Amino acid sequence: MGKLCMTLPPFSPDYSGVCSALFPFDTLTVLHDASGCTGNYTGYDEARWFRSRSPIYCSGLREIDAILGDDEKLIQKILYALEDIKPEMIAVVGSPVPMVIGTDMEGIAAEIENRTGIMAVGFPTTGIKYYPQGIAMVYKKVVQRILEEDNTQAVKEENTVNILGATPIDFGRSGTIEELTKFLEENGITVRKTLWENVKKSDVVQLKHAACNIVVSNAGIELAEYMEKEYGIPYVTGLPYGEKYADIWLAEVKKVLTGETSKVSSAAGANEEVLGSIKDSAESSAKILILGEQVQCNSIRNAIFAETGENCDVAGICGWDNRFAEAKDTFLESEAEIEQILNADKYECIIGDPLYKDLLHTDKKFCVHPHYAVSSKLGNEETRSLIGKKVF
Amino acid sequence: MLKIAVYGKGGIGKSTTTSNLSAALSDLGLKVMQIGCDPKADSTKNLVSGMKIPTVLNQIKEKGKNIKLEDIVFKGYGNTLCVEAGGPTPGIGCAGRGIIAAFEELERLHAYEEYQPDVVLYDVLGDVVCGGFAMPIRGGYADHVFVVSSGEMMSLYAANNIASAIKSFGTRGYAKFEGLILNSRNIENELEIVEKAAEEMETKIVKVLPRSGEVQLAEAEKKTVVEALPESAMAAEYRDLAKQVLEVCGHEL
Repeated sequence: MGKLCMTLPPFSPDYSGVCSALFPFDTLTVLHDASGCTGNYTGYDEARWFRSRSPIYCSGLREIDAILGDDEKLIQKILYALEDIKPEMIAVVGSPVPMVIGTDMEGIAAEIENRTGIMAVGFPTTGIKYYPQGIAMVYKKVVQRILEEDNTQAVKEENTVNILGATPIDFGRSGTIEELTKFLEENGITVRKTLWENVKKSDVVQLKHAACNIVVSNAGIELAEYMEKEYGIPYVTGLPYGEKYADIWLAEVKKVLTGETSKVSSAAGANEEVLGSIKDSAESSAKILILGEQVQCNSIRNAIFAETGENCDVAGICGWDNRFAEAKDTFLESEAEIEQILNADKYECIIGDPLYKDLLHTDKKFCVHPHYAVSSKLGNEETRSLIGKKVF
Repeated sequence: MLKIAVYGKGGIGKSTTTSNLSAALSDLGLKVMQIGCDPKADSTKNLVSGMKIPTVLNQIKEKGKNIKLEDIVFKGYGNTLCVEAGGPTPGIGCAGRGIIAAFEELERLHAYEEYQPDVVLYDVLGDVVCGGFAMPIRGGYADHVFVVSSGEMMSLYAANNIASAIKSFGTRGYAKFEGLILNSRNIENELEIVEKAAEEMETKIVKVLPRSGEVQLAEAEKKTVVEALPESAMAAEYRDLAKQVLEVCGHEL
């Protein structure tokens, strides 16, 4: 019962991460479920319906199909849909029931690709993992595959970057990615690709010509590492949040663009020379706790430190990478853990999703930073971009 | 890495054959990992002197995320790496899902990368009754499938079912059905019957293992024939099986 949510809604799961990362691609996406999971994604985890469309289907899985493992029925439905839609790619995405009965999502996709000649990818998502794993899965199975199948040489274009790891599940309708693009371009850096809107396979191939990758969430790290290994493209993690830290972060990006190696600038200590050292002392002195996506939280921490000299602790929700964590940072895996840390005496100020307020036992200063994976549309009104702006 | 699944009807001698194959392959200088895919969890017992090794699923239940490779991989005869997937108590739970969970755990712990075996043998329960038991022949797992059968009708019926399952996965680019291993029961016209069945299944007999009391003698010592009676005629048959399997799979020593 340790993971039961009594107050918070369930966070965006892995299949939503897959659908969200695939949304801008020219893809026919089929979620293999009875309709609840599709409804969860289309109703709560996708923020882009108001300005664009993407063909997302529900397979309409029923009890008898699950018992008999009727893969052919699903394949026929997809072939039928293909009579109307001509996508560049087909995605077959798993949910809890296919996971339990061991449906071979990758095998079904291979069979569809064999029959249609259209690139098809199966995602063994389960609904019991979180969205960053789904996004990373798309990067690995789709983006890496397209890059691997392309034989053209990578020709590095100076002063150009890609933005990796950007989906609305992390950034909602805050305008962050648009402002990040604007910020970079105003500073003489061209953004080649963001995988954020209207992506074609031919766009994916273009990724390898960038001089640097900007990784804005944990989900983008694996792809950045792959591209560094395969094409020698270094990467910088983090976002230019805050007035002062934006310049510090930009300087890091420029250093990497002029030949320095990758910078994991998200952990505060990594910017030691510029920001000063934040100690791994036995007892952290931080009075501020930031909850949310780790890369974003680290950037908020850096922004606060650059402006006030005050340290913060970060608590990751849904995804975690120890390499980007300070000694007192932690990954929270349940509502009970979130509740416990929120109410820890040492924290006087909390920065996080507005729904966490309901878990506070006493009044504390609370700065709202909506996380779409947690509060979905409920946080829309309070969401804003922190690019180059005073954070809180 | 050579990845082989061994299927066949329950009680036909799959685990005995697979364990002896593991032992013989190990004697050829290969690093072998044998993974038992049966809730009974007795596939590797003759490689580990009859010891009941903890299963992957039981260790997941007990240790959760703190599980380590050394909790589930045990060294047996000739340094063979022995793993038992395990499964539920008969009559409850879901054995097929158990196989999937055990395989995912092995992958999560990077078992193959860590031990880098030359050969992985999946010893799989009876028949491909559901998605879970097809797991070993799916993408990324076994590339070659052998079916152990005798000349008895039920055994050949099961072999045919397995052959059909492999064929139905044909368009998915999965494992190749390499042939039958005839574990003789000394029934009348056994070789002819199995040859005819193999022809109907569009496959061949890779090796005929004669019926031998040496198997029982070795099992009484909780060992494989290859270990307990290395000079015996049956040990020579298992060594020949190892050579045939390697040849059919195109593996050069």
